[in-house]
Amino acid sequence: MATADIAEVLPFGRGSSRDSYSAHNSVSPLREVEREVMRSIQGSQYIRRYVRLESFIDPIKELARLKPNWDSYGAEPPNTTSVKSALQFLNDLTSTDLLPIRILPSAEGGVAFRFVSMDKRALVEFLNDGSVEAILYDSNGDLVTQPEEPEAPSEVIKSVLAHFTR
Amino acid sequence: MMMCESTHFSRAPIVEALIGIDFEQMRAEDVLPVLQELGETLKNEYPVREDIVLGQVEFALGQKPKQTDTPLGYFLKSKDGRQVVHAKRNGFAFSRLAPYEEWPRFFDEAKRTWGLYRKTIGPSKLAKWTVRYINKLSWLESESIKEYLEVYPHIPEGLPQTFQGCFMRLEFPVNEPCQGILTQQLVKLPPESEGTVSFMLDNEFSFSAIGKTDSAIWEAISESRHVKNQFFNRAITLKTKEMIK
Repeated sequence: MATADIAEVLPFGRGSSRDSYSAHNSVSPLREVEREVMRSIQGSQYIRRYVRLESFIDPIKELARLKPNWDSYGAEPPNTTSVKSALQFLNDLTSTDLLPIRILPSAEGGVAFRFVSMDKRALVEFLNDGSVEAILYDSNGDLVTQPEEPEAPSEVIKSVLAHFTR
Repeated sequence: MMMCESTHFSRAPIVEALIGIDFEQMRAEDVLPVLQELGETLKNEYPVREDIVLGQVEFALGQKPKQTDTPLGYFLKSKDGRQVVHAKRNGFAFSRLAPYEEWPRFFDEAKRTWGLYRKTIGPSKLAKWTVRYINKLSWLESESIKEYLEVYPHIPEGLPQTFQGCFMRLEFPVNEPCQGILTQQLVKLPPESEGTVSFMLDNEFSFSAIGKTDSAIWEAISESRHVKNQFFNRAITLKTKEMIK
């Protein structure tokens, strides 16, 4: 079962709610506003998801700082092309129910998103040459589909969505 | 008496609609297995279950921060993730995410799932009910917010008329269908694509449920449809209405 820890959400991506959300009861008007804002974030599925997606922005940008041969097998770090595509993909995800569980560098040079939901898995890779690859598989690791030709990002979202709602 | 405004927008920018009912007091943790039973009852339509956990951190001078995670209940999600039942120890909510369809379908499903939740969790005193609509609007960066919204921060002449970030929160008294509060939040979001700007307009109507019966509350929720339409219609310009009609 997935865990949706509401304290992990950040107040519109600024600061850490773990730090700022306190159990203390207070009559301070500012504290009251803070509590209300947190409540309004926690109460909305859309905002919670948005904030979670936003929290991936900096880690994606950080990946570009990797050094060549970061995996000791000669992998290139993500370049501007793959980082930009990954950030656009992140933006596109706000209008879906898809939430990656992890973002990592691709061994082929690029940015990879890993998705997990119940018995379904997916790995979407934005490569440095501008292409996109999606590997859809089940929880046993059995491949469901891997497109032979690189797909457009919008098609990738569609196929991943279809995989998770099938 | 407010005028009834029921304009239907075929491309309404609603990213989430919510109906919620909160209890006066949080139920004890022993109610969690009961909420799991509700998850089983709704399993066909809402097969995905996620824990809702309240994380709290206490700070005291000279001591290490103390962190506690309290289980609050479950999100029960439809397979496509567009409908979510919030089955919590301190209340219930029903979310419909984009694409939003229509009020009657949204209202009926919220009422049906509340009925099952209520039956499962047993008697609890009600504190408040809410109806919330979160909208996302985007336009070209070169255009002014005033062209699309009637509610926006006023920036005095002589200061830069563009802003990098915006979080505006207003509270209005509301008199229909009963005494309540509208909390309106306007938040600037990261652009959807290059050369555009996006704003979130979040209207949350809250009303007291103290001493009211379930049927009276659902009747009031039904009536609140017109108030929420009115506030939304007044918050957007004719240009926006044309864009989403």
